[in-house]
Amino acid sequence: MSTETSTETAPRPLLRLDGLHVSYPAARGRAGTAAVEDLSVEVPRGSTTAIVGESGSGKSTTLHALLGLLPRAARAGHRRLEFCDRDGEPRTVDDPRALRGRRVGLIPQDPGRALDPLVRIDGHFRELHRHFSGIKGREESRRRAAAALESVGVDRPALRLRQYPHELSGGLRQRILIALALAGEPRLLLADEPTSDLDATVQRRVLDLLDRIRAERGLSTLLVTHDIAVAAERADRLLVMRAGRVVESGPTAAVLGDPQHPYTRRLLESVPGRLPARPAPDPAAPPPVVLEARGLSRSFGPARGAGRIDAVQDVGFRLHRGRTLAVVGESGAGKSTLLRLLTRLERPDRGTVLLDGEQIGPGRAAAAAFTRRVQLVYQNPAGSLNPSLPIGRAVAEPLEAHRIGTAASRARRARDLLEQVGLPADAADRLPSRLSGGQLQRAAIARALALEPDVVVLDEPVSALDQAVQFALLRLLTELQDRLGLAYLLVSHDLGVVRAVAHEVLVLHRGRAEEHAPTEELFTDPKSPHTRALLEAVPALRIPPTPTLSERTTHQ
Amino acid sequence: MAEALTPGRPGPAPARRAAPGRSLAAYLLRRCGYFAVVVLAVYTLSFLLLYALPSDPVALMLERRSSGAGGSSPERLEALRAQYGLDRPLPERYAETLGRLLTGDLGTSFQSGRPVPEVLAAAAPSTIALAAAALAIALPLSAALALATSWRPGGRLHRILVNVPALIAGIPAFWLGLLLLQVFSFQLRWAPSTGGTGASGLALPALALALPVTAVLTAVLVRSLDEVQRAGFVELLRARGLPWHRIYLHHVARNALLPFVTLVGLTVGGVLVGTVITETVFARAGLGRLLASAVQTQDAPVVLAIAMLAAVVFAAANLAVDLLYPVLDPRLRRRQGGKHP
Amino acid sequence: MTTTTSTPARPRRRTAVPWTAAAVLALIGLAALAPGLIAPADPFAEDITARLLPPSAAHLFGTDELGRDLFSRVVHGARTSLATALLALAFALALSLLIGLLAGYLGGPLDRALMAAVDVLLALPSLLISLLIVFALGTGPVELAIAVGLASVPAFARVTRAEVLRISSQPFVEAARGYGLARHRILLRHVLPHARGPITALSALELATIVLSVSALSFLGYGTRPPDPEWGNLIAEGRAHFATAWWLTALPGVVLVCLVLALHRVGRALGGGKAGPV
Repeated sequence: MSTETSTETAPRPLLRLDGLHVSYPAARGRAGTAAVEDLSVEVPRGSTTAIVGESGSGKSTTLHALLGLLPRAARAGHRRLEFCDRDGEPRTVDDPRALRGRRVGLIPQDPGRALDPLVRIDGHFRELHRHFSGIKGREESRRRAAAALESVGVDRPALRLRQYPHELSGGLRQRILIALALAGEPRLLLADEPTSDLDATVQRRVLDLLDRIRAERGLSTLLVTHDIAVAAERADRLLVMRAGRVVESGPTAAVLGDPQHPYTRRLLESVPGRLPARPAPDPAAPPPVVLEARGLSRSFGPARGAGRIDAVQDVGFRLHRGRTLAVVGESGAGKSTLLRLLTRLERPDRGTVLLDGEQIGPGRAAAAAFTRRVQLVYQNPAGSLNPSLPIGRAVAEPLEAHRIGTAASRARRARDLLEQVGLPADAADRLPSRLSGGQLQRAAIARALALEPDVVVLDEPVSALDQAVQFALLRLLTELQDRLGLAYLLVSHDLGVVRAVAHEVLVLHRGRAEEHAPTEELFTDPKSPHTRALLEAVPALRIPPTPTLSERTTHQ
Repeated sequence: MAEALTPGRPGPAPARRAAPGRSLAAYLLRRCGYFAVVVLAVYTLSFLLLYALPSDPVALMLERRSSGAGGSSPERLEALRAQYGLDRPLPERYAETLGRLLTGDLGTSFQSGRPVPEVLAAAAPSTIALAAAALAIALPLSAALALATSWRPGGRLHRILVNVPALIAGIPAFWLGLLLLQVFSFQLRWAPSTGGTGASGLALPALALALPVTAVLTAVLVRSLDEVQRAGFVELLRARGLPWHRIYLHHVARNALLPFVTLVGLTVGGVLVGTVITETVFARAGLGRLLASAVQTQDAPVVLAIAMLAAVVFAAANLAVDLLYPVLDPRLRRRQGGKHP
Repeated sequence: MTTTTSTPARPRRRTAVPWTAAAVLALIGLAALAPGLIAPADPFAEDITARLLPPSAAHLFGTDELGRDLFSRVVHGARTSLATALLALAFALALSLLIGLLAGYLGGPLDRALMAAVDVLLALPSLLISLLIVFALGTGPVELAIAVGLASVPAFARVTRAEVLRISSQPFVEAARGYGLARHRILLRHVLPHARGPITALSALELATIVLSVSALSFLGYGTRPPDPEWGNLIAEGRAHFATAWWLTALPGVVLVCLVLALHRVGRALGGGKAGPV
């Protein structure tokens, strides 16, 4: 199953795991599942190994199994587990729990609730010092803790030690978590999905820090991620997992440059960057403006003082027919609020929204007319469809709401729409629970098209889906746009998606419009420092055979 | 009380557990204001139920009393009504009674004619002793039970113990008291049956009162412990190799106790009201039994006084919990200037 | 964080059917509807020669101080006990649903006002509220039902509102608003159907609590008058012979406990207190 493309002549690997298997036995009403089957991995010294896989591939389970952190219901075992201690000699490890803390450190995915909220930072360290080194004195512990904080780049360590976790930002917390993971002086660091959906700049800094620490102390890292670009950028060796098995492994360059297994190839091909880029707008004859925002502002909380949140401040843009405008920004930049303002789920404090150059009048009739022309597709496909309503009824419901046609004509139209989004006609009678995530999102898109809108607003439409499904859906969206002349307003944190489908990009930062430019221009020559930081944070997937940028644009 | 027991059912109080907001002082002021509002609302509700209904139960009461002293002639009735101020319009009586309550004048009992404070004072010590004893049993017992249950979620002990609170809560308090009496007093003769004084006489009633309360508290605490164990930081602590007993007692238990503290305020209420039943079953003279009989005899001033006393105690207990919360949970201590970057 | 996979969702896990609890409920229900089928003996027939007899083959639950068959009295008493409790539940449900739906779905100042009122009432234990209402209305089974029902409203309304809120905050409800479906139709078609299941389960759990409250207040003497064999009454009557005739207080209580536990079990099995599929 594994395709090694290099021979092992280096010193003994730091960690060697053979034949890991994890299964969950059958319980009430649920069949047994095998989460991991016959997995073997070797982590060389002083290097980074990445395990890449989609959700359900078993990569996180592997990580947990390594430390014996699986839930009680799991049945796990391995043929051989070896770990090299300081002296360089590999030792057989019977119980993975022996690895905890002193040999292997864990860095979590979500720094949100990763620290006991009732304990100050110095308390967290003191507990570990007492456990690992028997240090009882507060002074000694504080000294060590301050040094540890400094080594991970935390400013004002003495102050930070006295603080509680909730007083610190996410980035600081993650650094502290790294320092805590290093407290036992482990030789191997496990990083569980260190790229979260948001705050790409923060995550990049954290990954850089990990690399630095690894290099400084001669540690190894085992990185688990669903994002192949991250793995490509950081890892020396790569394992690709699918449905609990390793389908391919080897040095990163080899696996990416010459993938052997069809699954690996599919994974690499369905990166959003593989989609043909949208043509740049023709400056001489731009299509008419269908949606325009001017000076939109919305704030929450008290009128002044602490607690006031200026979610959106003075944002304006023009959306042309048949074009896609992507809105990007860090979490908290105001993207969701802007969407809600545009779809009239919220009222702005100031500013206007114009449709075809006209303001939307007051009253129900005007509101109804607006909803017919601007529709919204949600991030979570399963949540946005009523689980008890057959898909056909759900797709036709907007027609029903506006009293268009008869029941029979509506049902016909629903079937047409389903066909347009690539779903079989018999899906109309199925309940949402019978469809997959990708199919559900297609249904949601079909529903959005029911009223024949001019503008479709998409809120992270593919972020909840696996990569291959994402790719197919993005392709569908661009096809629909070209065929029906729809204008899209797309919010996404995934810049790869943005680059693939957007004509123009609007960058939001702290509620303000930071930069607005055609896609390629933004990506190749960003003007604002925030945009630059955002772009730099995105891991780049350099796959040798990808056509270059210029080759792609000349196709259009 | 048993409402809070149903699994997944939120205790009534959590809605108030919001962060202080701008400053600690504002938070405290708000809580004190809330206290006053609750007491006033209870007074209004009680007053309306006691005095405002057209069936005029007071007249019946007075009739019973006055029949011993000259019969229930209409003039006599009118005279008595005037004496108790019952012939005046409702809003006026509302304000006047409130005023008198605030100055400590609780009126006179219809039933016995004695001043209400005197009647209450005679009954209070027994009830306070009973309630205190019950709390002294319930709090440690529920904490111990819950900690034992959740030590190993999914383990055998958990599976057995997790249903115990629901089982106990399903037993009516009065029947439980009778059962305890039957077993411990009549069969085993460990404790005196009725009217016993001192510690030995307190043991059984306190236990009968404590058990239903323990059931609720245990259930809530178990839920809280199970939930905290699923938090991210617990897994990380295990990953670092710390021993489980340290993680459980020092980290999990402390975090789980926060919502538990909220419920203690309600527990005081539940215990005090439970005395109505327990004192009846064990034939103890106390505020609970006084309330029960006052309702039977339509003795409005006494009922009003006890209801107000109860409201003040409950609201005060909740206020104490609210004041205690920022001390326990650093997330509620918002400093001036908000978060540090 | 990617959570959905590309494969269809597996069918939902089934909770074990609570056969014992359902059987208990069926039996007690039968006792309430057709007591003669289960206990043919006359519950009011006095027999001085058979006073205070312990349980035996002839008298399953023994006899009381007037020689009446206790088993028969318990079975016939199911009618009053259940009827009072169900009536109280009806009151509680009607008011709580109204408040919960209005507050949870409409939100805004109405929600805040209603919840403020409810929170104040929640500061008092329900028994105290019941006693006040009994004071105002007098004693008797209907008055008792009203007292217990109304006292249950604050907590039940809060829980109902929480359920409605949970359903209303689902994206598909907001999506319906987005494509212009009228509010009342959203309520009827999207919110209420999903509220039915959880509210039924919650009602079963609430009924368990109500049965306890009704029996406690009956025990204290605020319910029906003797010789009506309501269970709380039976236990209260049995106190007089507590030392010698344990069965008079113990056995009706056992039946009561079985009913409460059965209701609890069924309520949990229906999904009460947990988030349902929606």
